[in-house]
Amino acid sequence: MYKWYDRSGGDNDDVVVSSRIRLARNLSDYKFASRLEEDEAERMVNSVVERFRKDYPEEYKYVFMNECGEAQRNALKERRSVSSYLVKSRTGAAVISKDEGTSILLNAEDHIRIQVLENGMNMPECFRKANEADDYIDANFDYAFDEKYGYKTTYPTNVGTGLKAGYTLHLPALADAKRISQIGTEIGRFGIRIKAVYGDSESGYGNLYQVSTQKTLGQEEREIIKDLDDIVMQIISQEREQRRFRYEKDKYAAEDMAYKSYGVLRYARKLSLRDAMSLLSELMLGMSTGILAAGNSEHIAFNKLLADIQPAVLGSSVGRDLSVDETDVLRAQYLRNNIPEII
Amino acid sequence: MLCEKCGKNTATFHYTEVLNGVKNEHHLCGECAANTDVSYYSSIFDNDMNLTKLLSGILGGRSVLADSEKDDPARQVQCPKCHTTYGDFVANSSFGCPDCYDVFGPLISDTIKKLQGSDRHIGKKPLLYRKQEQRAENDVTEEKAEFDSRREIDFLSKKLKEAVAEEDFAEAAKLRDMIAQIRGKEENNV
Repeated sequence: MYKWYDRSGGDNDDVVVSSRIRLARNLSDYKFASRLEEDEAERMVNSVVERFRKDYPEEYKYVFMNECGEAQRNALKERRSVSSYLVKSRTGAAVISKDEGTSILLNAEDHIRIQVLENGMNMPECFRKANEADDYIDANFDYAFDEKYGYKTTYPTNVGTGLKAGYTLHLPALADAKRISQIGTEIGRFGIRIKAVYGDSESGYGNLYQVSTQKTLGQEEREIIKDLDDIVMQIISQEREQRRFRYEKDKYAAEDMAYKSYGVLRYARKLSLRDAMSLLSELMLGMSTGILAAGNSEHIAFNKLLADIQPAVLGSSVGRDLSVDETDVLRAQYLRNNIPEII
Repeated sequence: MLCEKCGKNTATFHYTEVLNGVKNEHHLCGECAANTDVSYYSSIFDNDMNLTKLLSGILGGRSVLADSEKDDPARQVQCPKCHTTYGDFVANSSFGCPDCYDVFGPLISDTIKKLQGSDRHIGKKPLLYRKQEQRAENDVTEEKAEFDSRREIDFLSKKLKEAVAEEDFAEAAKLRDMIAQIRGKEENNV
């Protein structure tokens, strides 16, 4: 069975790495997650899991946080299947689709959080899948809902649609031009936020940025997504323009950087996460600008590479805890074996 | 500088998180940095927490000013179901249970408006609410037979009780007719 990150491509995949939707929901019969006694929490979680198991014995896997070791939980987090909040929840559980693109988190900040991930820019598909899971739960359980405020959530910042939509963008040229803060100020006015996935906004590494919606009240779901898409399309065109500008300004420097990064990724014996992320960023940039092309002319599944080089994922691939040095060695080895031949 | 987490090793990993203009600095040793949440994507999931503190700031700021008004009746309010007090609500910026919305909702309507730009939900509604609307407009598309009419009757009965309690008798009459309509259909099916 293919995982969502095994595939690659998607619209505007030269800039958009992945799309994500999240719906926050709560059941009307229970206190919110933070106030639930352990036995109540177990009852709530089990009732939802049992329902899914009965109707979908094959389509999902069921993961209980208290049955997983710390390394396994962290690996799930690094693969983005669960949140860091759920990892710490003793009574939490996750219902995860076989392709790992859809996760239903139980008893995290809210009773139910539905999350869908897709490659590239593909919010309609995220929204369709999230809605489908939402409708299924709705048909079987009573949601906490208020005529005025909408879907009731633990935090007032989620009340209403309970929806957060976000894209992970690869913005090496805009980051290099120190434009991220300025973009943040501009889009903040529209209730949209940009945040470095790793590190802070000016010196974040990997050049990956999460651009996501903040407001959940007063706008319909499709409108919220459309506003986000409009803004993201503008960021995409700015990034492309900046990439072109940099290439035309000094094409030898751009080519040199792309090939050097490829060379290090293919031959290094030890790579820290920070270095690996920066090199992958250069590789992604080189491929999207046409400097580099994979020998089999296929796309590289960057979402898979980005997750596979994370520490807990590497540890779980060999089934034991690794020291920092061992992790760095294993990371370099993994990349040597998985970066395709470039022509 | 020592690592802020273990307090033993020298901090070699310096991390600044800037979120909506608020700067948070972290200093960690290599080992703790590798194991800490200052890692790939983890912070994305934690956004709610950060944003939520904003609310605590808005509400809390006001209540600090009003410290002399400790007897302010608003501060004594408590949710009968989960016993969350207004003080808890402000400190944690979170509701304790679905009923808290009825208790604290009216108190923070303005704050939610400030935070969200609106205080009224438009958009998707749960199935039971959608069906109620359809019934009100006499536009019930025949649902799948397996849909639990028991659940719908329970839901409408609860709303009927609320309408009566609020002395909204016009609404109560409508709800009563809807329930009768479903019951009538059930009998026909027998």
